Amino acid sequence: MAVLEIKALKKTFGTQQVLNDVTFSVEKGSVYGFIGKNGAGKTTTMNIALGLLKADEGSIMINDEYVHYGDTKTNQYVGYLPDVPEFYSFLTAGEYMTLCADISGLDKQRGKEKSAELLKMVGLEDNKKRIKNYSRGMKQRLGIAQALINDPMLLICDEPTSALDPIGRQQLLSVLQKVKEHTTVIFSTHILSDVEAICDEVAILNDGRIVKQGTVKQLKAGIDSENWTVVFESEEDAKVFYDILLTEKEINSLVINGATVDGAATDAKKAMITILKHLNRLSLIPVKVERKEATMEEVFMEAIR
Amino acid sequence: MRGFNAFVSKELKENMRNYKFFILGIVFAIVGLLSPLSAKFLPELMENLLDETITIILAEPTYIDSWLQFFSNISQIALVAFVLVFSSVMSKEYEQGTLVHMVTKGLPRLTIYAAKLSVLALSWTVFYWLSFAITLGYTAFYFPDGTTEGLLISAGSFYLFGLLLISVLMVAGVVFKNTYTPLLVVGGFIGLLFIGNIVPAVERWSPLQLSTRNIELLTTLEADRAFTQGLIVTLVSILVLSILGGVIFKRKALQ
Repeated sequence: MAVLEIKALKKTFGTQQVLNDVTFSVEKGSVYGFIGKNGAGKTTTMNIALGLLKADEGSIMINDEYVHYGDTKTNQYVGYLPDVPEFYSFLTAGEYMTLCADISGLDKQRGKEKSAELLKMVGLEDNKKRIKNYSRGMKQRLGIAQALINDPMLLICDEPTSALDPIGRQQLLSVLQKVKEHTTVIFSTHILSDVEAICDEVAILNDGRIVKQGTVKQLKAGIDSENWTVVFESEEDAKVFYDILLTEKEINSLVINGATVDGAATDAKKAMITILKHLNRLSLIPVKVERKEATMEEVFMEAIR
Repeated sequence: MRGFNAFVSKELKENMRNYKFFILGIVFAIVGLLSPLSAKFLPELMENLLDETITIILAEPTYIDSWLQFFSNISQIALVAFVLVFSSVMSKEYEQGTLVHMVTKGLPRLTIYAAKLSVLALSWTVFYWLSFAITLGYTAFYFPDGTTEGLLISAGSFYLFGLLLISVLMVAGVVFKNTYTPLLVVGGFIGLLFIGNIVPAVERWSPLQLSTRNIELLTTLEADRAFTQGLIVTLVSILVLSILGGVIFKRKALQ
């Protein structure tokens, strides 16, 4: 069952077409990565899904109900975490969570319990400071707590890690790992390692169009990796092999590290034939020859090429 | 209704913690206090300050002078302070993007608008009548011969004029995303009312009567046809502007 269903979405700002026939759906229980470079149309799509922006054409359904611009009805199923969440800075985290609980229609007791539980989950349970004194990482953690107050069916995260330092990013990803056990998540980002860390399915958006979608495994299997590695028994063998490969034009990069030679080539198949040819000619017997699995970075670059 | 109450409570908390209520409380209290005092002591003060060679015959001040001071101060100081303090009622939310979380929690936009409008109207009601009550008390103390007849319609009409400006401020706040343009719109609106008053046919229907004819109402003790027309226009305008603001806000981009 699809929690979020986007069909033929189009949006233009002035003369610039930001979204062009965007169609995809997010199945219940999955973490859906929505990837694209800056300006690809990710935030625009999210804002339309939240009823904050009007689409020129197309439709969005959340939990089988149409999203209408200016209407907040479908937002009862949604939790939203933007890249830089903004709160009422004169409130404390506890007061803000109470406000969110009241707005979401939770009864007093349930709201209190849920607020305490979520603040504990994000490590802000003992914080009595007003939000104006929070660091960006603390705000982001409060952002995820408020997004989950209504036990949303769908959690929309719009580049939630882009403004965080590595520690903050790691903390947020680990919270999202916990969340994915009981909530469907759509996660827009341009940080591909985050996608690999938590996403099950991915759609790649480029110039307002979905250019590739599928599971992370399917997308990786769909392209030839440029990277390979050869491991020898001795460093001497590795050095001989390395020196020979330096003269080959189809090898783009080459790194020797002890008995291991790592490399990359635009045409990986051709490079592999060259590697095997040299191994045979030099009578070198490697311990391992491996074409590495494609990275999400390679998948992404291939998709937007 | 819970969403409305929660948002109203947030608005009240914000205005208290940002000292807006504190500032307005002081301004309105001072206006309430100073009006009867200045009416009572201004003639004596002028007598003492002026050169002995200059002779000014000043009539004995009455309760009418006290209310004259009140309506003058409340319109020129307190109402201006009120509009200034609340000119950022929408712009701050737009600038900081704080409403996005409220809307994405499912809080209807009309509820947000209604809550903000209600808090402004409630604040005006409390501060205005507080100021009025202070003036009333001191006027009764300094001018015991005065009467309160006609006072309610006189003070009530200015109260309604304040509500009209609040509804203008809210519409302007919804349409324009900065702090200054709503101020200009309110100023422009008052300017237009004054310009309109040049034309007698317009003057007879103008809401401006509610802020300029207060003393006349106090002394004549009755509202004429033109005043009633102005009152009707004011009430209809408040209603129309309040609905209009809500409708615009429902379609307005929040970021």
